[in-house]
Amino acid sequence: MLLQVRDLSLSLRDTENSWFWSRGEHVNIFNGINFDIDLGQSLGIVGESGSGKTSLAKTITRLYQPSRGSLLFDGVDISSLRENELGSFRSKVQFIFQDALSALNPRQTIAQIISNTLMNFSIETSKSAALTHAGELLDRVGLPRSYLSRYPHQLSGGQRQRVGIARAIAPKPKLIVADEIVSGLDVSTQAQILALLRELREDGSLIFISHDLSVVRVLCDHVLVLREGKQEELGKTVELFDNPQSRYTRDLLAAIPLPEYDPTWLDREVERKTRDTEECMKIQGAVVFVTGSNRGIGAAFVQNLISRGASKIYIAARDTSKLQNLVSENAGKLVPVELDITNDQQIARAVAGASDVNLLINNAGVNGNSALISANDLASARDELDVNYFGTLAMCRAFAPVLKKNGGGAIINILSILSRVNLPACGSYCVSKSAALSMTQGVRAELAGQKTLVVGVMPGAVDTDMAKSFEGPKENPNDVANASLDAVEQGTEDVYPGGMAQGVSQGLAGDPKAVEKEFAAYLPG
Amino acid sequence: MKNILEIRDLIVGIDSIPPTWILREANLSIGEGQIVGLVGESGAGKTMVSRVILGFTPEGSRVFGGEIHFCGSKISDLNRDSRPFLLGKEVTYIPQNPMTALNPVQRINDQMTDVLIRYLQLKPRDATKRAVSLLSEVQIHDPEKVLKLYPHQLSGGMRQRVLIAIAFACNPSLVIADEPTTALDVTVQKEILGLIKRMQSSHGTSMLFISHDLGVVSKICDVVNVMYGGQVLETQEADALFSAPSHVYTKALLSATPRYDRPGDLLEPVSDRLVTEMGKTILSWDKRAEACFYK
Repeated sequence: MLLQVRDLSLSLRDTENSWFWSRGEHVNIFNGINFDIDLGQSLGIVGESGSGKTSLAKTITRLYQPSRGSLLFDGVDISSLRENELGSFRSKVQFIFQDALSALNPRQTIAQIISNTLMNFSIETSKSAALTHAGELLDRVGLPRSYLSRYPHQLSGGQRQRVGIARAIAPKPKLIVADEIVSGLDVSTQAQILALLRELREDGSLIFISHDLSVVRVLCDHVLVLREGKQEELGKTVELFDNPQSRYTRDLLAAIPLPEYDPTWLDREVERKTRDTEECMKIQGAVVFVTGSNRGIGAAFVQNLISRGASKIYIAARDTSKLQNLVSENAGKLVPVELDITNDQQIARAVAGASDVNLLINNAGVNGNSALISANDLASARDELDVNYFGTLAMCRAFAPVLKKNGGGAIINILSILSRVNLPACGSYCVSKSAALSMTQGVRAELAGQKTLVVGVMPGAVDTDMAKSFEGPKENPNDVANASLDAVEQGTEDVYPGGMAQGVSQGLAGDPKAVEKEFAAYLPG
Repeated sequence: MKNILEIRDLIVGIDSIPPTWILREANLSIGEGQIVGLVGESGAGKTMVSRVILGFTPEGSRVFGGEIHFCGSKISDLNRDSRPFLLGKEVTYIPQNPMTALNPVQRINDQMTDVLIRYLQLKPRDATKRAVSLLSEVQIHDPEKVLKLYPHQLSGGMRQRVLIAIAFACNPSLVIADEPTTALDVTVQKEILGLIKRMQSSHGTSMLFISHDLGVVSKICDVVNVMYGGQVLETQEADALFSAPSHVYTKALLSATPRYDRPGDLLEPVSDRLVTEMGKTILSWDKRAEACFYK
């Protein structure tokens, strides 16, 4: 292990709020930081300004002395060594500063800047050898050797940053700490510097500090997220980006503007801010009632709830015989309930036996795939309205008092993106889902007083039996379940899981008529 | 749609022998109520465009050719002193660096009421009232207290909010924002972008938004212009530009932008071949221009 950081903390005197004769109170800068770096690994440290990133970097490189904790570098605890004992450490760890213009001495040429470093660390002993070596280093960072005679102000921002890198790699360090070194550069220069750092990374370890997670993803294999001086999250880059554990990490990711046209992006933050203050429900430990749980999205919900640690799940279906296997695999956690949501007596019985529920998932639904006019009769239209609208409403009505008794909880209604616009091929299904969407909004308003969160989920086509005949791209039911449960934990009301749903929703925000016309074109025959 | 601003074949250069060209027949127009983006690498001439509109061409440089029309009247012939009615009132500016743009020795109140007294002829007391409402419009809590502070007592995001409030103070027709969020971190950046957008639509202002960050531009602009070597290479509606960029340089810029959602992509800097190719076009333009302006 190259570097082991354990319980590292730093507090500094508050010079801002002290009189000139007093020394000021100590202020905590960061607290309890733990991580390891192996040789050849790279760690990204991210966080907002003021989160303590730079102070952490300066402490790791012993420009600050930590107030608590240990720093093992190459097996030696350097946390309390004095400056004169740090000599060999200094040559093994190098710092690249954010502002290259102020980090390079304006009165020295590039040749002097680099060869001074070489001479200081006794890597070269003669001036001429140091000069040749400096030239080689410039080759390495992709600058022409003629630049040796230039002064820092004669270089562009990207070139200065290259000089900073050349100086940092001069003593062949084992660890390079780079502090926001690409944030002032434009994208093409940034890409060049990142490519250079990737190359150099093979020779040693790298700690890369940035507020831009996109850049960190390109460069680092581990990421540490800092928030107000606390370690919020630490993990492998791939895992952290695919499945960020902390809410704060998700917020940081959501704040990055990707170069894509997205007219709703700017408004999304406002929603988050207003909900920040509210307490959101946790799936872990929740008692959940899922309708239509034997297949499709319902089955995906059950799996997802189990893996998120729900304490008890009532799995309802019209035919419970198919659920026996699942129940026996998860002994004690799953309770099968026979339920047809159009049957009032069965609903009453189900509620009576499930008085501990705090999350209701209305997933059951039917789709007769029939049009409105060309259908033979109204059977399909009636059936869909019965299940998708009346059935779901009956469930909401039956469970509302239970949820109230259990502290509010949440209802997830699985709707469809077709609640927002009619696809004539299954016109009557869309009507029923549209009714269910309107019902969801009404129920949300009525239950706001008892603090029940009502989530409407509007996916596009999902890869289940219901959409067997649909040939376009389909969402994975797991992703739908995942997004819905995330919504409960984050307090989001409307969920559009998947590209298709988001696309339609954005289209509707722009020109509803155009979406309607486009959907009309899918009419069969 | 009526155009608030039109720049036609604008040529600006440093008046040496031969001249050093900065803008090479740049074309740009801003429709009423639009946010128009101007992107490019450093040195592309983005800031020069805004400077020329404001009449602040750096010393030694001048407009060699082309025209700028603002609200239908030609302003490129007017020098800075003969168009004070424009600056600060009709055309305002949100600068890149909120740290240096405010006067460090003046209270926020004096800096805000200055424009209100000068351009709207308000009495000092009314100007302060208006400043309070402007500050609450940019979501600064306790505006009365903030007015009494000096710039160094505010955070970067707060200072940028103050500057946005000043920019919109006199209901301008055009606001030029030059990299307004580059100095801020991502979360503050998002707040400020949302604020700029809200202010722009509630005041019905047109806007020129300069940035090197394609991500930022994609989120706030209606139309985007891509600039290189003092020329506008591509102009498109934002959705079209980001879904189907037509110019090779735009494509190159997009593939140089890192994205956290696409880990597999290796970043490609704008290739040397493309740079040389575009360099050639620029060189041949320079030759023609020299023959034209410098005989």
